[in-house]
Amino acid sequence: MKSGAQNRLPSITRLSDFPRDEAVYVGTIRSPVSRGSIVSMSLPHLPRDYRSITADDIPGARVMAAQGARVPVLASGRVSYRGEPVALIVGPDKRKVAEAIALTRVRVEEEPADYSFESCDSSRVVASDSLESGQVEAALKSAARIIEGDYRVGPQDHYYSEPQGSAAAFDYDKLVVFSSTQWPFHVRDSVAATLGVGKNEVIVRPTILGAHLDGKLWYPSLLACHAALASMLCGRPALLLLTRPEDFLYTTKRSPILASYRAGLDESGRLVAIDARIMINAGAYAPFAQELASRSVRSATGGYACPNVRISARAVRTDLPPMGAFVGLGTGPMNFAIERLVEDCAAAHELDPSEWRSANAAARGDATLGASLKRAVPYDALATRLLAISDYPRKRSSFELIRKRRADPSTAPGYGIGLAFGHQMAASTFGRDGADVPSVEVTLSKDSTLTIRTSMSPGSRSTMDIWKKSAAASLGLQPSSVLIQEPSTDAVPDSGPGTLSRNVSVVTKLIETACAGLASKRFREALPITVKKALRARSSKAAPESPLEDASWGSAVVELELDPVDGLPAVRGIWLVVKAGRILSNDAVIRAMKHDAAAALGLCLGEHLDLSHGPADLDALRRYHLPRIKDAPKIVVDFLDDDTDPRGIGELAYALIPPAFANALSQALDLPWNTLPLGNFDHPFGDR
Amino acid sequence: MTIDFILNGEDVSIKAEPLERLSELLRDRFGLSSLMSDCLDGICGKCILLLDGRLVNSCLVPAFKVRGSEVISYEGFRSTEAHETVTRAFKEAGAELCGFCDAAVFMAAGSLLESAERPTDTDINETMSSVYCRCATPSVTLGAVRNAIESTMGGKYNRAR
Repeated sequence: MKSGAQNRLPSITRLSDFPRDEAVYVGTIRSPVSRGSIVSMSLPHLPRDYRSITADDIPGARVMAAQGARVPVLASGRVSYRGEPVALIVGPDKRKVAEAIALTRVRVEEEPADYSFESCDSSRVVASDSLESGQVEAALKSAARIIEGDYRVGPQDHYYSEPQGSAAAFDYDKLVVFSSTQWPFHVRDSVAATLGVGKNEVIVRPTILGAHLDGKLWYPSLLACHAALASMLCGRPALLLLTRPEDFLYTTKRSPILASYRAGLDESGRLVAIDARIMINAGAYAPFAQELASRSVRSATGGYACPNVRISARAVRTDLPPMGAFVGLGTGPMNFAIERLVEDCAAAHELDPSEWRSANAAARGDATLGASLKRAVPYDALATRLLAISDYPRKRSSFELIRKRRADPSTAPGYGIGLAFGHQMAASTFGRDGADVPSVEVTLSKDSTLTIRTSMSPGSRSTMDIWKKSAAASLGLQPSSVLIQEPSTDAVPDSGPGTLSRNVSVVTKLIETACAGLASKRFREALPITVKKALRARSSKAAPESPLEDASWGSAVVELELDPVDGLPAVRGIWLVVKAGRILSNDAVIRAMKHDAAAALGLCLGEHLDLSHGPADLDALRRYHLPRIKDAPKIVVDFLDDDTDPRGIGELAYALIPPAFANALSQALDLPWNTLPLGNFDHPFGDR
Repeated sequence: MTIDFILNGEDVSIKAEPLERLSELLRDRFGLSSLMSDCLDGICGKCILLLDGRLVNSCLVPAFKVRGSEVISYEGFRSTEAHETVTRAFKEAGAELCGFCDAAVFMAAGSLLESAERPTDTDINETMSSVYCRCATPSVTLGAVRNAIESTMGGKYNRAR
């Protein structure tokens, strides 16, 4: 590739440290409206060394592939959400770039925008999935009791440690892209396609991710395309770093979900039918929509057995910024829905919520989700430990007495304790046309150093420690002899994205398998020896497997109290018990779970964003209340002994805490609370 | 305008717009990479520094405000004994920071070691809450700062109930 410039390649760990000396800054001109056709764009006079970039300047593909979606690199013709990138302004002084952007006018023939997703015509449904077994209508007709509910989980911002961005610079004939990404090879392929060059002419050097909550899967690729275009067209290093407001307003959010359930129960309170309709707001272009719909369906019955099931999920395109993954894809919100539903089921039969769960937990051989379960879900084992450490039965009885005996039924009882049970699915692939296969390569050198190569960035030091310990134990090495190769695309195999669900469960197992393969060759072949292992895709001829198979399981209790003055819930304590296979580093896992549990409270309380009437504004950012250290309650984490392979826990707390919180709040308010995050909570007995 | 102030123990002078954010001035013109220009609204605390001994969000401080003042950023704090105490305590507690908030977290913790009175848990929680980052594990942070205070001020830490 001809660059017109040769640069000394910077070595950086954070995008914000990219050297500014010779770099140009990249600013984004955005659509001022949510939907319409671009009529014209008027730019101010740009000084020398400054230039604009539009779709017409793109030498390669103008559209980027993003998990089933086709996202314009720069919009031309039409715009599909407010803030969509329309053009770039590039220059050496970031203030002048910002001034030029402020003076640019994009005229758009505006069309009525549609932000709704809870009901819509089929033209906006971009993905769907369904599951049906048994005779749902007949079972509902003959059920002793029907429980219904609408459960809503709102959008949420990832609020990354570092806002999204990218930098690009030429190293002789290669373009090196720096990107804080979970998926370096998606960045590489997207940039190469946009520039119209071969994949090998682009090298992606991932910078550290920080806390990302699975929000850096595909969007970094779009920004990388912008930075790469700027660098190539200007012949200089280019830096694009969004400010926090830009990141908050225009990048991906968690997909809001509405789950409407009808559950049929027999005389004893046992589930006989579930009829669920799931609507998903996928935003503009709808990346990951199919994955969201499919995972939502597969999570809709939680860990419970039900002989008659009908579940449908539809992902709906709206004129909002693209939505997508947030600590998994759809499973957390669905666990909120099913765990609120089962609480209502238990209440309707005046059963203890834990006893109801125990009676309805899926047993070995259960086929609620199509395939027969090989092992029973471990509710009873988890509950035995959890109820003991949280004192749930006694506290719940006490709070029930307060609720029933309060003198004034128009006031809230004020105390609540809630239980939730749930799982994190075993990680699966969600690749580019099925080509994404998690893989790991290990090399044992002559000096007995083991190098692990994978592009699935571990994201945290403790995960890296787990990988090192695991590899060292397999080969009888010291962990200090194990190196993890920086996941630059020219140094590691294409191994798909790193996600919170994959990093421990998939990669650790692959490392162990690769090391076992290496051990068998170690004394028979000359060093260095390299072994590569990839996750084997399930054969289409293989017997179907339940989505609950090989899942991590957990149960949580949240205790809260309403403030007598402002009525706001204050969480007093969180207890979590987890069964997730062999624990490779006890302290690290407990710290991680405590971190996740505290962070998950944000999903319950102040991380509220209302996009039902349009995209977020700066006031929404100011009102967006993130949990602080002082907000954290006491958190107790325990694990059940389990000798099976290690499984992921990165999503568990986010699936368990919100429903446990809502169940506690429902008791404290004496009314069912079916929407999270709470957001404005001025009048507990007013309109929600 | 020309602004004279003391930065990390050295007299400095620079021409700047009076209302330029101190965080951007220090990062862009003095190359202090510890200061993250993140929220620009005093929310995240990733740009905190000591201005005349007080912990401030430098994104909310206009440049003219620092005339004649003493500014200590993480780059200056890094060479102090308090820094060593704090980083050791965080390491021993197993705290895993993300690489973006470390400087601000350590400075906030270090400011507690300079308190005239022994900080309580409430003081620790309030001060450490001035830095927001999704990577923090609250109980680990609290434990680390308690240990840092214990090792600096001696005696058993009086845990609040």
